[in-house]
Amino acid sequence: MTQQRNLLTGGLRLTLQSWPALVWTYVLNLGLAVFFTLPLRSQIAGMTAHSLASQRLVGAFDLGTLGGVISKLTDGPGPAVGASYFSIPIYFVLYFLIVPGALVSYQTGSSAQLFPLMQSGFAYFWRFVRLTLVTLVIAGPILAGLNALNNLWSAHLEKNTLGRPGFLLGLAGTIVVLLVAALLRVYFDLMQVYTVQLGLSESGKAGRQIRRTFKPAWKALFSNFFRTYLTFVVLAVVGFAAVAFTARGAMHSMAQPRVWPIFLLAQIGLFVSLLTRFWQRGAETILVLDNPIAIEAVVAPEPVVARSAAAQEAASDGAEEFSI
Amino acid sequence: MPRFNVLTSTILAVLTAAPLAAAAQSIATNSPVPLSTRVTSYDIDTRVDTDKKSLDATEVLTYKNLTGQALTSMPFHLYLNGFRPESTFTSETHFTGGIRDSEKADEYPKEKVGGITITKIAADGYGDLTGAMRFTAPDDGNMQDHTVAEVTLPHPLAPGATITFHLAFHDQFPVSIARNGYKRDFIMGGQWYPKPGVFWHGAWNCHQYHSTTEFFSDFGTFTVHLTVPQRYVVGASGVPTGDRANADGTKTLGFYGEDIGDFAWAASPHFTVTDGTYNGSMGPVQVHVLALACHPNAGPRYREIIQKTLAEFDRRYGPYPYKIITVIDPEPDSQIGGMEYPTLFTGGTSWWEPTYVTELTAEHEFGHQYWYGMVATNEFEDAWLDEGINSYTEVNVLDSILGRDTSVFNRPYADAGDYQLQRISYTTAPDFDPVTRWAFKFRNSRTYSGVTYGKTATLLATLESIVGRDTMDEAMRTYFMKFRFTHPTAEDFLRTIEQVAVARGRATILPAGDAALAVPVGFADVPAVNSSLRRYFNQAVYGTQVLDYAVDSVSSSPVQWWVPLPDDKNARKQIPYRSTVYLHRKGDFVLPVTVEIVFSDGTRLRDHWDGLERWTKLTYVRNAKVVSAEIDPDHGILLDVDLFNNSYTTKANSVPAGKLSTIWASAQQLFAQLLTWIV
Repeated sequence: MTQQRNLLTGGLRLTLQSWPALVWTYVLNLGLAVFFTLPLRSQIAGMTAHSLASQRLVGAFDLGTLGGVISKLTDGPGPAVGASYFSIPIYFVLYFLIVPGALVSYQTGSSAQLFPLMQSGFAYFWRFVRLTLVTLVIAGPILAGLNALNNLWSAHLEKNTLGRPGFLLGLAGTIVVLLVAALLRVYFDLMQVYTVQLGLSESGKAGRQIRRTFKPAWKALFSNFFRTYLTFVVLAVVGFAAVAFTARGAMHSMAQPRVWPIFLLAQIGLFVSLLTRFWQRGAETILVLDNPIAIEAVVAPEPVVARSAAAQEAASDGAEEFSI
Repeated sequence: MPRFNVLTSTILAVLTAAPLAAAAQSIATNSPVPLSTRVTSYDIDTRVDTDKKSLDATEVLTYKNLTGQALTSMPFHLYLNGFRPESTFTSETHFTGGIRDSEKADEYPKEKVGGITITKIAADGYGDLTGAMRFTAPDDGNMQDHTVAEVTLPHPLAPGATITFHLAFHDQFPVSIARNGYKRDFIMGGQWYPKPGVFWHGAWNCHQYHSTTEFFSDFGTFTVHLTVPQRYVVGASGVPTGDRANADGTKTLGFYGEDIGDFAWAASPHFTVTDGTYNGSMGPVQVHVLALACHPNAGPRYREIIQKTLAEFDRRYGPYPYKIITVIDPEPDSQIGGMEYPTLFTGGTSWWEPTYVTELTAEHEFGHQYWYGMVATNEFEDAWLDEGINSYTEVNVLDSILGRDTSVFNRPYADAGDYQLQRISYTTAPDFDPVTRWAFKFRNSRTYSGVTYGKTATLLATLESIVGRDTMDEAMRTYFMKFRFTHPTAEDFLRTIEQVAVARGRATILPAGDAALAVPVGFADVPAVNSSLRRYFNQAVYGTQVLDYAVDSVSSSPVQWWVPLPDDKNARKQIPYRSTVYLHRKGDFVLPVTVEIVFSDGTRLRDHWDGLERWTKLTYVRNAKVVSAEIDPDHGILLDVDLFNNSYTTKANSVPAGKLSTIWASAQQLFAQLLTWIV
């Protein structure tokens, strides 16, 4: 049965219903970033906590003093800066567990707490890794080609159009590439949702499940193109705008003699950005639920029976067969 | 009576004729008399092919032999030949980096090839000298370099005599590289004509073009005519003397410069003109800005900063004597920005420039009109005397105009001062090379930049804190007024500072035989002063010692430590405390320092330490604990590589670490979220 529910409101409802998935994702990202930044914080504190030279970072934000800190960090011993990067790959791997778990929760209404999330996530982990590889293999060359065209456009602008007009035209080229990237992203997101749907129906082998999602995802997207794509792009823009707006606010708080405004504003922007990403997945789930993939029926095979010679002769004459 | 009147009139006419004639002749400067010893006189006619990015020119060069010796040869700089893969300039840029373009790739693009070809050179009374010209490589023996060519004279040029060369040459400009060349339809003509070396200290001084060197030439006059397509607007050194439209769609522009050592020009069809005037102490100066149309706000911005800079330089160091300063807004994405020539410089800006980098670049390049343009030091051998001194004066001038902590960036949420930029540049390479090293002998381009610009600016700022701002200002003014239009050396500069410092009681004369006087120094016209500042110069200028003082520890304990502390807060304030502060000289640079101790009762004490030992202990007994200890409380010793360890407060402040780690962690989170868009 196909419906046409509102993707925005439906997606938001699913996201809020399974809010622990969003919250756990945010908390894990924040926790990893804070944990792996602790050595760096300690190193900076060693330099600045008892030094009057760091006063220009307390009631002001002096870029020269910041430069001095950076210079000392890169000069001194200890890989504190390098160690802080570890949060990124760990979060990346955890994300492969969280997303399928969230999609299961969206489709089944099951608990989105951390343990059930991870349980579902482990079940779909390798499928999502394969899906990501498929995404990279297909989308990579397309975007690389577009990027090459964009570079040609930039080179043309660089020769002929300078200043603000050149910048705006160059930006337009970049936006075109990003819009195509968004289209590819929403398509592969739909494949992910269909993969979970097939997994929930326990239909077929995992690898075949992925192959079976190409067409349905295509069909679902292009038969509902404008509302699906528009929803996705609007949510992406809202998410990035939230980051930009709160980052600007955080930047304007840098000269205050306190830390919490920077932290709070940054985290609000990051949370809203993550919310919109989960909201996108919620909207995609609504679309998939309204356009479910056809599950193949399994028919029991006929029993094998022996025929008498007379039955075989009758069969060859077209007479009715009978089994023993 | 009539006879007396005629005689008086005649005498008056004779007395006034020369100055009046001189005053009438000086169209390029506000001086009624020549400002320099004009060794050279150039008359150059040039036809620029803007399609092929080349030019053909004839040059009449008159050279006066004021060396006191007979000259048998004359070397010429052919800088444009540096833009070839075989050249020393390109090779050094490839292997040790250039200050603008590293050329790291293992191919040299065809469009980056430039060159100058002298098709003919002859001299009056000497005949055709084309066959007598050969390339030399006085610095590294690279005979493929071709940036120096020497002409052997068939008979010597006697002392006091003059020789007039007639040259014909062809330039091929490369796509913009190292201050030169073209970008789109913008062409920069810098170091574009053959010019002789300088006969200096008894010998020809004509170095090859290196990746980190600039230029050195004698003063003279320039009469230049440039023929370009009608649609081009041209800015050039000197004053414009007129233009003429030609029948073939071109126009010929004339320029004249006096008492300058070089001539450059720039041409673009997209220049817009913004003019202004500064009324200097020697007369009016036209500020002639040629900004690109794609930078609509740049013209007034350049004009304003140059007018203010002219005022600062006039007040601090001396007058700007020329009638014009031309500002060229360079083509975007070219390497032509930020370069100085006499009475002309290239700035650097963007259609959106939220910092003061536009002003900083313009001020810096204008500053070179003084340090290099008029005080014409040898940029090969004493690069610090122009780049470094200019960076030092840049900080002071921008401080006055834009504020000490805001001269680079000024927003309510963040700021940055130029003195910090210079200091950070210095701290990237504090101990590799002395500032006096020849420009092409530095370890690499990074140490060249860090030491020549950053360390010099910082050591002069530190010197200013030692001798006092008034003394340093007077020393700089004295140096400029005494050595303008000459070629001073490092010791001329340092001894001038010593003379002023001793006269003002900010330095003393060292006894003969003092160890500080044992460091060998170079040429100077100024006699040796042998002041106490030598200890500083030996380390900061001639040495590579690193200055780093630290407060190692601060502690306060009750004198009667065995007696339990009273509960009453007021009673605790009556307890005598023994406070100990340990200071440590971590670097090899020895400099007496002041330390300020702040006590919990608000008392501030200043003590002094000569820094001779590696460490010292300061002990205080008073009814208060130490709250903080700070070395150099007036923040004048910017040469200290680590300002964070200069002080210690007993109360910790976690805000700086919190802010920076919060920003970093948030950035990590954002990057992680962006990365997961591929999942």
